[in-house]
Amino acid sequence: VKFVFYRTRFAKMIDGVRQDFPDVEVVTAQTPAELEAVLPGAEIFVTTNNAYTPDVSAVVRDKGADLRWLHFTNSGIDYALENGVPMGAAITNSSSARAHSVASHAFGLLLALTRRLNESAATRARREWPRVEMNNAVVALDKKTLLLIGLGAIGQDIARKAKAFDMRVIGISRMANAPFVDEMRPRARLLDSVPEADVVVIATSYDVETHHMIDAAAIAALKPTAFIVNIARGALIDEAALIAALQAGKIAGAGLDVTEVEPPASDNALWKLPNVVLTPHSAAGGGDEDVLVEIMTDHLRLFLAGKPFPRVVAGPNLGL
Amino acid sequence: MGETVVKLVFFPAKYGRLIDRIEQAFPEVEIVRIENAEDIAAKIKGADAMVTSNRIYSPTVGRDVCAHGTSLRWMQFTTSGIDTALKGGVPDGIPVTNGAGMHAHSVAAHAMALMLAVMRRLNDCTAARPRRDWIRDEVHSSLSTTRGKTMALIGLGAIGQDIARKAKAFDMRVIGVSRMDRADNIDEVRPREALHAVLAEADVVMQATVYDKSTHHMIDAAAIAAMKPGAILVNIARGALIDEAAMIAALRDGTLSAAGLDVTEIEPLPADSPLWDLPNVVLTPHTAGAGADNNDALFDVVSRNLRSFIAGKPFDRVVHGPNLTASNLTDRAS
Repeated sequence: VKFVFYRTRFAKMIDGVRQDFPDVEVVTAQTPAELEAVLPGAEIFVTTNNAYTPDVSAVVRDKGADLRWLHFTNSGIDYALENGVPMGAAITNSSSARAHSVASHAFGLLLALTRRLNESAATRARREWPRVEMNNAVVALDKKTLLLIGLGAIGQDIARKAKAFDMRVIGISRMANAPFVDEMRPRARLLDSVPEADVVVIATSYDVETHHMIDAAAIAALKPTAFIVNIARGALIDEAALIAALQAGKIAGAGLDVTEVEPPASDNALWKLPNVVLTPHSAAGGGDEDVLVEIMTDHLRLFLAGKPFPRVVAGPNLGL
Repeated sequence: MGETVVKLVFFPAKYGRLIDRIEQAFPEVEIVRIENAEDIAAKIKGADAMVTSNRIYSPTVGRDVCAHGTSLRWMQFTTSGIDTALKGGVPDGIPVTNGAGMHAHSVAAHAMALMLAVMRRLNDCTAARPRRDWIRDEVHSSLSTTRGKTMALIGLGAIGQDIARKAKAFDMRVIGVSRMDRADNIDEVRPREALHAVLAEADVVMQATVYDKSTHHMIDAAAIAAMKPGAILVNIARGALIDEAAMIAALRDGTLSAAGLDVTEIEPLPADSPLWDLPNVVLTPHTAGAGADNNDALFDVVSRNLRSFIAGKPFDRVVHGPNLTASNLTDRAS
């Protein structure tokens, strides 16, 4: 079996396959040209959503006739799906591996907003100690309402953490219920639910249906004291409408790990807005390479045994 | 007591909606708002009780309260700590109650904010913004996550216990350092004598204990040397629990990877302190307790104690001085 790693940063994963699966022929590639040379005859292709560019998609289309399985070492695969993946191959991702990291990051952003860390950093630069002035600006989370959009692995972990902050959690999802969610509502009720929220956290997957799901109308329906956190995909929010609301003080602030275009253009107002906490799409970062390796090798064992994967995100499953 | 009108002074007069709510709920209580410290001497005369804050209780305030507040029979602090006030001086022989537990959620949330800000490198991300620098690749390799990490949690009072509950929701292992033998959400409790051994296991050292003579500089150079290389230190309690000079040296040489500090040995932080500029420090101006003033918790504590006071019943808990009893009420009245 021939196995191609494309732009994989995880040396441990590549070495692990070489060591533990001696029957597998392991090949790595860093550029579309290298990929073109090694892909013929490969049955397995492992990469990330970001690396799966239109060029890569074209190479896969032309040279990947033998591919039976594509695995992504990250969670969201929207970019890859948009660029095109082979119809006949099983597509798997690593959604559960990063959930806790992304959920922690979501709370990092939310707490930075509510505990006014931006203001502390700004006054620190001026050698000011505004203890008393800041007293009424800081916001406590207990008894506040969290509107949590998306209850996948990441959303569920956010809900669990929110309960440790004594928040009321309203989930927006097709699921009827989930642990740590006080009340679940379908997406059709999003706009009705927005006025109840003290905090909106967006943790849903991006596709045609969810494009700009937080649009100007939803933003206008928010409380003036509300905070928005987005750790999913930038285009889930109408960014222009969000910026206008932040500039006009119509909402209290936004914690954003993602933007519509990444990196944001240098004239994007999000760089400068003081009521924005901005991180460079780093929510999934940190630590758990081992879990990603484990997920990949668990899948590989199933593949080699001809057994179905526990879950495929696109394409046919194996052995069915 | 039934017919007596209780005179209650508030200093400062800014407590969110608290004072209005107390006024509405207790029509039998005469409320006096003291806006400025200079007015204490004049306005405190004849007052039965005072609601105040450790934050503003300077020695001048203490002097005026003791000299002119001779009719005071109860003091309620809205803060958890009353160390500044005790230094400034409170009247002898009267019960003093505090806001312990009331700010616990707020302080615990702030502790988590500082820890996560350090782990998720928010300082670096914020510093990169003016340069329009999307530092995804730079931060990615050095971010850390909470799952499976060990927190040494020093102090298991109301704040420590709430931090533990939150840390468990972030899948951390929590070792408490306390005299208690067990508490909820704590994987293991060890006595203070075992501090250095606990520090050697910790990825995050969370300082949440009470400051007094016995805890002064409990995190000193030797304690820092006992920590895991690259550990994170968070302090939301009192600055002098940590030997600040030793901490600064460790932050500079990398022994400590970063610190999240809401408190410093001297506050406001002196202009020449290196803590202002250290990039691996997230610094907030003693705001961990903020955010609670408008909460029901503060109203609940003050109104419960006020009901006890009016009824002449003992308080649930007194942090300084004697509790209220029928006899000491009579003694003071006679």
